[in-house]
Amino acid sequence: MKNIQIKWERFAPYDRSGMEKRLENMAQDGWMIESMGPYFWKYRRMEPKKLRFSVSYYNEMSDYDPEPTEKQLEFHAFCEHSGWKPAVSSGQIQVFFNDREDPVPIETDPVPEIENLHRFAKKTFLRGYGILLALAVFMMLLVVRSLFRDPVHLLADGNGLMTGFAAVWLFVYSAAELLGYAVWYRKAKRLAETGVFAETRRTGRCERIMEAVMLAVLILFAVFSGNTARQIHMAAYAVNLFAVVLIGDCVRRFLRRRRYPAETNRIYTSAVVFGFSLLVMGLVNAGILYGSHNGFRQTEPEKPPITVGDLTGMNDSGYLKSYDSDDSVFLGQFRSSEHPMDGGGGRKLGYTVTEVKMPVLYEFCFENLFEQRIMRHDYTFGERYEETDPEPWQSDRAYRLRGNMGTSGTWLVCYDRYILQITADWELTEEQMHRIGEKLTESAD
Amino acid sequence: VPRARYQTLTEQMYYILLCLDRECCGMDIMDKVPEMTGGRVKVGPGTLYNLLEQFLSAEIITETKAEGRRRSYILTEKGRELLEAEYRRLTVQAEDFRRYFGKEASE
Repeated sequence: MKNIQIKWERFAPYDRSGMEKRLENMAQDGWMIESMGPYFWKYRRMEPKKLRFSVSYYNEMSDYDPEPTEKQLEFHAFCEHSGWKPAVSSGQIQVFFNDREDPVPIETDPVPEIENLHRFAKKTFLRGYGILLALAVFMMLLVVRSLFRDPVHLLADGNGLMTGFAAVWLFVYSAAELLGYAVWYRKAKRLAETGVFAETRRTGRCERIMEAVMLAVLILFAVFSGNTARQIHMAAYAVNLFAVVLIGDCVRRFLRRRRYPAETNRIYTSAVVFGFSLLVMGLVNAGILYGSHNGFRQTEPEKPPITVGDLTGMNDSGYLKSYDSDDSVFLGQFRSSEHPMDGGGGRKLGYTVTEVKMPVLYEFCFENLFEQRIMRHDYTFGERYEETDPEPWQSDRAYRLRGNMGTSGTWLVCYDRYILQITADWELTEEQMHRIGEKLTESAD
Repeated sequence: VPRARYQTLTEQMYYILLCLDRECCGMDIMDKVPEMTGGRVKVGPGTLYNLLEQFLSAEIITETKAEGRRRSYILTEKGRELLEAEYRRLTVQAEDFRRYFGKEASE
């Protein structure tokens, strides 16, 4: 029979009624709270008992203090005088229990109680959620900016989409917490004036659902991203986020046990947390880089479907080539650029292949690429696409860019699942167009 | 509309200050208040601790001595005036009640 039980408990920090009820139920089932961690609470087996629990907020205390101050001990002495024994504490949150039938509650006047709780809220979670909300708004602005500037690229960028989702999630999460508290505090303050204690809101279930949704999206994103390096990155970020809090908590507790002064403890804990994060992410990046250099894992996308060498038969060994790709559940994009290193005597070729994975997005992508809303560096005023014969491209539709100076070497070609934007610094022959079409249809098959 | 701080006192504030007419420590207050009120009013340790801290910082009470964890307090002149003002307010309320219901009864 196990004597220890560790449970994932989720309560808003001000949800004193929720925490008290939970601890009372656990005591009745024969489990006494032993410690409250950042994610999990630890319970120890005992005789099932009907105990009363009370959650208090002691604002002069911090998680880093090596031992209780004289004032805190005075507070504990007051509590013990009324039969309240300390059960556990976590930062400013102090939990007491009482085995008397009808004890005098720790808080008997709602006015100072709500003032004290609000001081605790301002000092701790309101500040934290405020920072998270500001961060979420900033991230959302960045995503909205790229949505206006280059929606097709954003839809193809799995990381960008994930950032967008995370920003919205963070916004909803922190705004809901702040709003939930503001509404409750208003009501509690009004009730306190009439001598009534307000029950706190039970938000634990909502928080669990929100966190489970985020976790599920992260897992889905990692599984379907199809990019091993990205999957490793995602897993490392997730593990890092979780581990950093746990390690920080362990270090803080260890230094507290060793009676380190609060300020020293704070500095050492922060340094360990920061160092650990750097180490994990550094190791992951170094591993990926090492793997790619040794052929274990190619971080760059696979071989480009079209090259200058393929099209012209020229030796392209002296070419500077750069490829990159993006991938999401909606779109994939492959970008390639080739030009001779010495600057002359060769051909320049650049293209972007957009793979539309959801047919419903095809026209949206086409219109965006056609209208050239994307303000690229090579964009000049007055340029527009004109329809040309799609036959040489083996495609459904083909367009050529025309500027004030006449036609240019830029084409927009539509295939069943692909949209190709290609720029060559020479006049492409029908045979070359045919070959490009073949290559793209081959890769589609 | 929230009441201005200490313009009116809650029952707990009133009885804590009343106890501190004479020097006493926190635990004495917790025992004295139910005695004074026949068990009608009890002061919880959290409420007592917070109110004592607030009264100290508002200079309504002052610390007289500290023996380990037992700190003793007494009312200051400001605290005495506050308590008397609250007493007068309650008396006026009680007189108003008597006058109103006394008049009604005589009619």
